[in-house]
Amino acid sequence: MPPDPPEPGERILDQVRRAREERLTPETESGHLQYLTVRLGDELYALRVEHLVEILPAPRITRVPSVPEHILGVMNFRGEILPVIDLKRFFSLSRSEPAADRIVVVAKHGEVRTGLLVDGVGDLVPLSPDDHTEEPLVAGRAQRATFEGVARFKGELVSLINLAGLLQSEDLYATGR
Amino acid sequence: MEGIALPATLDILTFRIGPFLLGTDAGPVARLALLTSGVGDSAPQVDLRLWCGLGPAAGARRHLLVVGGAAGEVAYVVDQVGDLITVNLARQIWPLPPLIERHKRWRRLWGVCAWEDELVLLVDLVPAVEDCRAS
Repeated sequence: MPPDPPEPGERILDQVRRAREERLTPETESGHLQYLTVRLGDELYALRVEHLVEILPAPRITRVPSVPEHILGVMNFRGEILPVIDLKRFFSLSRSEPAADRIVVVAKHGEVRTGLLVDGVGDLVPLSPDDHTEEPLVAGRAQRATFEGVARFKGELVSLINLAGLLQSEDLYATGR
Repeated sequence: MEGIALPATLDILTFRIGPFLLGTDAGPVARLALLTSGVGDSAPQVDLRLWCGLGPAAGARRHLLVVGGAAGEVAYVVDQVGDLITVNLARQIWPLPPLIERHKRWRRLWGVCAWEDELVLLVDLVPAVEDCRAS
């Protein structure tokens, strides 16, 4: 019998563990920062690896009444109750219901941990500040503080999420989205 | 002087409003009743679907959850009454995450309780004076 396929995210977390063992994260020896790419619909985004806690198949998410629709609800993560943000809805990319095979990236900023619902995770990529452009592509759809900028990876544009900016974004607290 | 022993557990009555699984301290719950057309409890009624940001329920049999307090009684209309559960205060109840706490528009939401493989949102339904004036 063939072995069970790895859990979603396990391949990436293996890379993270190996990279940490080699002390290459979050900054590589060449001055590049490590990012994890995540897919939201047809668009590619990335989060700094230093914010990454866990990647897991979307668990049961308990909906919370009277919160903006991009806050999907709460989840139990190892005995800790975390809010879950649907990044697609936050960035106004889609209003569709979350698919069963979506992924939650548990990210932290300071002591705050948050679940981020994404369509899929990609690779760990080293990016240099020189790779960034000045203007985030999404300016106008969300506050600029939510992004560090845009970089090009394998011919595709990647919007670099600023997690601190996202968690402090007034858009996250807006009620009329 | 002997200290006052605090209870280690809390009895919670769960109920559903649309897609939401909620729970409230069972202590102040005075009675449960079926909401029937034309005949209701004498206590002022509050439809919790409105508080949850939902539209009116269509055609479903709904229930009254009558909660009492110093200000009087209020009959909360819920979609479905669930289970009476006993949870450990230290191990099964958490405050709302700060993001939810900061954001909530329903101020009576106060916590989360783990029950079996589900999370129950905890809400304080003890009536305030203004609730008892509702009609």
